[in-house]
Amino acid sequence: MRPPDLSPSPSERRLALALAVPALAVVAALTAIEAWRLMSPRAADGVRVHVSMADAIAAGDLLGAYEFVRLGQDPGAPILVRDPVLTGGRDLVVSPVVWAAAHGQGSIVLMLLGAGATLDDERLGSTRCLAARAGFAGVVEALRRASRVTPGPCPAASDEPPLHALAERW
Amino acid sequence: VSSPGERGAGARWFFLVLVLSLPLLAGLAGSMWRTPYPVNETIAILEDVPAGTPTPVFALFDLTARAWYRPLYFLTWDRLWRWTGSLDRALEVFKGIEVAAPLLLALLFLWQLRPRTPTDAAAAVTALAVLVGSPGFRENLEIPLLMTLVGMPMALGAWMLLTREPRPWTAPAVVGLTLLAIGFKEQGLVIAAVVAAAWWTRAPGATRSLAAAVAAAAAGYIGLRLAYSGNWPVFEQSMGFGFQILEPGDALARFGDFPYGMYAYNAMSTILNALVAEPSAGLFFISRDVAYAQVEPWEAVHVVSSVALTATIAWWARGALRGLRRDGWTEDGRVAVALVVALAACGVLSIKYSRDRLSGMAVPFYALAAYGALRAAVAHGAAAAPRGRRLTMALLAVIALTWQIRAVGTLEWTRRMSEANTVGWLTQLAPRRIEFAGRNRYLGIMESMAAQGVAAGAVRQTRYPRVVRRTLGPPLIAE
Repeated sequence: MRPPDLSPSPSERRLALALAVPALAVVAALTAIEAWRLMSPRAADGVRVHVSMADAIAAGDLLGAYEFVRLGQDPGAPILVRDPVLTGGRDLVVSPVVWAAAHGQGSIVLMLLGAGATLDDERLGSTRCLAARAGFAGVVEALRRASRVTPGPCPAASDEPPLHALAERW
Repeated sequence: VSSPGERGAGARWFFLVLVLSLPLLAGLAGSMWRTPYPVNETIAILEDVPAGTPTPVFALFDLTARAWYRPLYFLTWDRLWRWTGSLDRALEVFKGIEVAAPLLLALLFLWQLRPRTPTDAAAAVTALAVLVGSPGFRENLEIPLLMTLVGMPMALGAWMLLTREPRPWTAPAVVGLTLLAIGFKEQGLVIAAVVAAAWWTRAPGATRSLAAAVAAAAAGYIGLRLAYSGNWPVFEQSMGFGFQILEPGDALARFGDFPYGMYAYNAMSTILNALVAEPSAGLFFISRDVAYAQVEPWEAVHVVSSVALTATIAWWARGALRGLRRDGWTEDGRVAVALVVALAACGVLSIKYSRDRLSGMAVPFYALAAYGALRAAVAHGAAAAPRGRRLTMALLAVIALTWQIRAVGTLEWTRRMSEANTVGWLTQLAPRRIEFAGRNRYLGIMESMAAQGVAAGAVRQTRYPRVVRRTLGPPLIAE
């Protein structure tokens, strides 16, 4: 007995193509994208390259800032920073936590504290006041959740650039 | 009995579909494998596992402990932890199971479809996209919430056995699958409902004794659970209601005297989400976005794909059931009934709160129905007048395109989830060390899992252009 004819009619073939063409297009696109991801994973993942942890923090790039910690940088070690407003255009050395707080980056503050950064109580309080004055409620909340310091009253703001009072000696 | 020629043609189209599915399935498996466990929920779950504590294992089967009952889920963790001797190794093996479950489901699904012609193959690749792109599938990929994800291949496996000629081991296998699925989560009861549907539609493997055994097992389970239901809250979790979220306390204040209306709303929300992509977790937020003329592309894709496919399935089911008196039960008719029954069971099992993932057990049947409906639409369109053929072609193209987008959206969703989990570990360690200072086991587990949480190899979402990202799905983390 001859096997039944399973070949579709021209009309059926065209209708089946309406289903198949999007699938084939997606398969081709996915294959190309997955190959790209395999060959250059950092580009495909959109990893931004920063020259320093300070830059990554200023850009608000949480994962980028953590890359420096992963590569061995001490999350508590002071970093060199400069900003027209925050440092008055001068080079200052501050804790990464302070720098992140000054930029309103609550998530990065939490990451740095979780990775082992520490600040003494006085500096934590000053950092909280800096964030509060700048209106960074997220940073204030992050410092409240991640430290045991009881918030005290904040001194009145001075005319100095905000980070002068929190600069480290070096 | 098929001839060698037919078998050869069948194998050719089956393998073609398998090859076409490979990029999606491999991407999905790879992404899930490289997803870190989340900091939220995972540690609390592991804290309840008896391994390493004086708590006896049989405590996992205590019906009075909680409102929910997932003894096999916790037993799996416990056994893996004890057998491997380390939490790190147990986490790896568990993730292996989590990755294998959706792959097994996809392979079983294609095996059940057995495409034998070009039309079958085209319908099968689209039906697989429906399976992977459904919210009930996507949301169950969340690591480590394995409970329904293992139940889905069990439901499909049971259906495959029920629709084939019975063997001596068919009944024990189906009863075993039902009990296993129920042991992982209440949603396993959907299999019992599907067995009843198979028996009612005279599926070859669904013998009377098998149906009776499964019904007895399900009734026994439900009876036991209800006997210890004294501590069940009226409402357990937050619920979407219209355009707002109700916390359990608020819901109790508003509906506590007569919660059944809210229960019906939750059940219908779960069912409607599976069928028309709205509401989601009880919230009509796509409707809200339509009202404010701020519809995101992914919202349009979800609604158009679901409405078009569900309408096609409804048309196909009507045709399949119309010939019942003349031809008796057909394979298509059985699938249509199984879909209705599985959806209804998913609705009943989500009366306390609705989530998209709670329709997961009905997803294999929705995708099976999609396969039948698409094949029927092709055959119908091919025999239609030119205008009808063009309309059918446009409908099929829309369904295929939008569901393929949703399937890729699921892949990207796992990557977004992975990135969100990494961010969770980076930002939650410091606050949790303070918040859980008194819980040594919690902190011990958290610290030992931190390395996997921030590992360099974690997968991240693909940096597609913004318009593509907005088409593939909702953002999980701020962009």
